[in-house]
Amino acid sequence: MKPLLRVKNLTKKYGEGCPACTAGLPGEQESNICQTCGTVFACSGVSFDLLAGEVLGIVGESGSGKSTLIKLLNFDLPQSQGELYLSCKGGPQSASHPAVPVNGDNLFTLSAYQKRQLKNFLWGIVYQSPHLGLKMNVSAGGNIAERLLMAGWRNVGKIRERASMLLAKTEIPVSRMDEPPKNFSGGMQQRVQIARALSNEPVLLLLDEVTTGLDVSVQACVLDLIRKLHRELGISMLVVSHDLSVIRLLTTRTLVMRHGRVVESGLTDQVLEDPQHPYTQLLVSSAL
Amino acid sequence: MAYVAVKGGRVAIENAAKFLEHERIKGRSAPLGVDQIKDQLPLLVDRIMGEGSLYAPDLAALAVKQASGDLLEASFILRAYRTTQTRLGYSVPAAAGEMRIIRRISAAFKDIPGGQVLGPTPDYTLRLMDFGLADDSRTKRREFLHSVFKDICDSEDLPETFPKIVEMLRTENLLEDRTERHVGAVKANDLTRGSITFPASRDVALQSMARGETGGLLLLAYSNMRGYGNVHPTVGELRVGFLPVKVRHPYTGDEHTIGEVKATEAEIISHAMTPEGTPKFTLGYGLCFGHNEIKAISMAVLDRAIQTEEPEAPSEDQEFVLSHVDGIESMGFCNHFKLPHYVTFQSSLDRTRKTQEVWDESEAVVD
Amino acid sequence: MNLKQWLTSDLHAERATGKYSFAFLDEGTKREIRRKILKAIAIPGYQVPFGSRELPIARGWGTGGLQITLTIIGPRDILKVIDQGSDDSVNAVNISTFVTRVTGVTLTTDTTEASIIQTRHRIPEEPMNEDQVLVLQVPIPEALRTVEPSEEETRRMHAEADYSALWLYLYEDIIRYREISIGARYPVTVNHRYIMDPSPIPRWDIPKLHRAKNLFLFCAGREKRIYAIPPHTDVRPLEFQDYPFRVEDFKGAVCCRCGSTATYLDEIIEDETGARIYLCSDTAYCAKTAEEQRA
Repeated sequence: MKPLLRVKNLTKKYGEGCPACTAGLPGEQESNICQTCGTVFACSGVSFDLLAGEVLGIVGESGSGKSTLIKLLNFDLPQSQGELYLSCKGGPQSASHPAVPVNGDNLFTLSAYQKRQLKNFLWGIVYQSPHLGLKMNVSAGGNIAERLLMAGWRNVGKIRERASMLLAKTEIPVSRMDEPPKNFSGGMQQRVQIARALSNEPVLLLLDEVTTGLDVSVQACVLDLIRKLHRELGISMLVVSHDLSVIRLLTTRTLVMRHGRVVESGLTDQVLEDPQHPYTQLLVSSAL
Repeated sequence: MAYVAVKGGRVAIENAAKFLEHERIKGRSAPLGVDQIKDQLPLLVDRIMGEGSLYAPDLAALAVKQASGDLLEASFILRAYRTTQTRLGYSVPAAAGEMRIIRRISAAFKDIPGGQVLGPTPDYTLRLMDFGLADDSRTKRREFLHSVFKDICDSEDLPETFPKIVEMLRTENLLEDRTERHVGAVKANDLTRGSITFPASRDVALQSMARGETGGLLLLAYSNMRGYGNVHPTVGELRVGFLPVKVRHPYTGDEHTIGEVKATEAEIISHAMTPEGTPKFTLGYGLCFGHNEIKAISMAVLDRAIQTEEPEAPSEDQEFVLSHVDGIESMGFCNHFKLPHYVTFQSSLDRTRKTQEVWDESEAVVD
Repeated sequence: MNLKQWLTSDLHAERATGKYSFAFLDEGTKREIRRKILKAIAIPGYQVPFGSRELPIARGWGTGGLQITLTIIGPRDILKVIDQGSDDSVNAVNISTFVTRVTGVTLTTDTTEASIIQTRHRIPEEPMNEDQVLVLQVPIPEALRTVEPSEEETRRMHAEADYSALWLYLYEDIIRYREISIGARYPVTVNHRYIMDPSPIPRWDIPKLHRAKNLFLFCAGREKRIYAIPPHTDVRPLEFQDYPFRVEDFKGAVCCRCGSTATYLDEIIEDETGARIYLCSDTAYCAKTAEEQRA
C-alpha cells in the first residue's frame, strides 16, 4: 500500500555550506553545526512515510528540528534539499480542483500558486501559538471561512453552515462564531485553529505542539477532541511534541529527533517502553 | 454657490489664480529680483534644487518667487519643468574625494588629516534675532566685507583634496566589508525613468531619498535617533563643496569636466554585527544637491536604517520610508482631498443609510 | 493628417503650443507610456508599473490620466474632460485648459462627439462605442490596499491569485452590517483573473465596464501604474450568491432639471431645513435631455 505521505532526505540548512558538509552532516555528530564552516543543519536528511489514517508522532527537545520539519512540510520555509510525495485522491472538496496535482510529483517543485492550493485543500496545520494560525481581529467564523473562500465558496449562508458545523465538532459554542478569537481562552483558540484546519476536509492534519502552554485540564480537552476527530474522520495526523505523554496518548508510531536527525523510529509503545537509542533512553527516563 | 456651479466654474478658477497673484504683488515693496533670491536666500534655493531634483539655481529662484515662498510648491514647479527636459545622458560617477571643499568636519575624531574646516555654518551662532539686519544697505555690506578681509594676510591654502575618514577606518579593517553589494560602476538605475519596486536596490533607495522632502526625511530619521530604531549614529564625515560633473565624449571616450554642482555629503558610522559574529562599523550615506546638512544626515541615517536585518520600527521599513519621502507626491495627495468628492461620498451615504435600514429592520423584527 | 504634417500646417501656427513639444511630454516618454498601455491591454486588469513623470498639475490631481491622454492624443482628436460627471468642475477645467494649451485640440461637452474622454470618478451615462477611449484618473490603483498596506505583498498576491484576504474582508462586512459596505472603488474581477480597482466610480457605473464596446484605460500618476480593460471583456464585481452586488438606491428621486430617474444623482442640500434636491451628476447628459424635452 502506497503511503499517504513520503518524505525523502529532507534537509534545511542555514549557512553557505562547504565541501565537508554538502552531502549532509558527517556521521553521528554531537551537534547540528558543521565544524568546518559553521553551517547550521536545522533538519538533516529526514526521511519517513506516513500511512493513510495513521497518527505519527515526532518527539524531541528544543532545537531537535521537529518544528522546522513541520514548517518545511507546510511550505512555511523553503527546503535546502529533499523530496515530498503525496498519494491520495483528496477529499471531496479537492476532487475536481485542477490545481491539486496528479500523484507522483515532488511537491517541493510546484509553483507557489500550486503549493497554496495544495495546502488549502489537502492538509491543515495547527500551530502552538494561535497567533500564527489565526487572524485575531477577524471573527472565528471568518477564520474558518477564509479557507473556504480560497477554495471558491461564494455563498455566505453555506459558508456559515459549514463553519457552524465545524465549530460544533470542535466543541465551540456556535453563538460565538462572529466573535474574534482574541476574546477566547487559549484552549478555545486552539480549537478554532483545529476547526479552520478541517474546513476543506483535508486528508492530513499537522499539529505543532498544540497543547504546549495550556492548562492541564484544557490540554486534556483538546487532546480528547483530537482523538475523537481521528476516530470520526479517519484523518491522518503528524503530531509534533516534546511531551511524551501527548505522544503516548495520540500516536501509533513515533520518530525521535535530535540535532535535526531522526535517531530512532518505531511503534510508539515500543519506543517508549524499550528505547534503543541512548538519546531516546535519556528522554524516556527523564520524563516525570 | 459651491464651486461646481452649472456655469461659471471656469471663471471662478481663473479668478482664483488672479487673486493669488494679487496677493503676491499687492504690497508696496519693490518687485523681488530672481538674482536677489539666488544671492540672498541661497540655502532656500539649494533646498528647492534638491527636492525639485534639478540643479538649476536660476530656475529654482524663479520657482521660489512664483510660489510666493511656498517650498513644496516651488519644488513642484521645478519638478514639473524637469519633465520637459530630455535625458541627454549620464555623467561619469564622481568620486566624493574630488569635491572642492568649503566645509568638512568629523564628529568621530577630535582632529583629522586636513583639519576640521568649519566653513559657513550657523551651528555655532547664537540664534538672537538680529534687528540690525532690518537696516541692510550696500554701504554696511561693504564695510563688513572690508573688515573681514582687512586682517587676513598670509592664510594657508586649503589642501587640494582631503582624505576620507572612512577610508582610514577601512584600512584598519574596522568597516564592514560590503564590496559584493556595490552597484556596478557603469550605470545606476534611473529612478525617474521607471517606478520603484520593493525591495529596492540601494542606488534606487538613495536616489529616492536624494529627491526627498527635507522635513519628511528629518521626521523619519529623528524617530530612529530617538529610539524607534537602532542606528545610534556618529557623523563620520560631513562635506559641503563642489563636485565636478564629468561626461564621456561620445566618440573619443575621454572624460571631460563640464561644470560643477554644489553638494552636501554625509557619512554616518553605526554599529553592526557581521555574519561571523564580529562587531564592525557600518556606514550610512547621504548626498544631496546644494548646502543642506539636515537632509544629508537624515538621509544617511535612513540609508542605514532601511538595511536593518530585522526591521521593527517604521524608519527601518524600506517600503514605508521610500513610499512616503517624496514631497511632490505627498503634498499633491494631501491637497487632492480638497477636490470635489461628492460622487464617492454619495455612494458612501447610500451604503451607510442602507446598513442603518437593514439594522433597524432587524431590530424591529427582534422587538 | 499625421503629427508631422500637422506641425507644418496652418493649424499648428494657429494654435501655437509655445516652447513645449506637442502634448508637453517628450517623445521618449510617450513611447514608454504607449508600450506600457499595450502591455496593460494585453493583460486585462493587471497593473503595469511605469516611469510616471511630474506634470504642472499636482500629484493626486490627475497626472496619471493626463499622461495617458497626452500620450494617445493627436491633433484631430476631440476631447471631453469631466470630474464628478461635470465638465465645469474645477479639476476638469484645469485639465482641459492644460491639454488644449499644449495640443490645440477641440473640446466638447458631448459624450457622443468626443474621441477621448478623461474622467475623474464617473463613467458618462451615454454608452461609448469602439471609436472612443475612456481615460480614468486613479488615486489608489491597488484593490487589495484595504487589506494589505505593503506593495511587495500585494504584488505577490496578484501573481499567485491569492485573493482570499479580500473575500474575507467582504465576508466580515456582511456578518457585521448584513451588507457589503464598500461604496465607491468596488473591486471587480477582470477576465476571470485579476482583481482590479475600478477607481472611485460609484457602484452605479460598475456594470458599464462589463463587455463594453470602448477601451478603458486607467492610470495612477503618483502610484505609477497603468491598467486597462479592453473592449468586450468580462468584468464582474465581487459578490456572494446570497449577497449580490447592488447599485445605489435613489429611492425614486428625480432630477429636478431633466426629470430623469435612470441616472446617477447628486444630492444637494438646499437650505438650513435640510431640504434636498437632486441633479444628474452627468451635467452634459442632463442638459441634453432637458433640451430634448423642451423640443
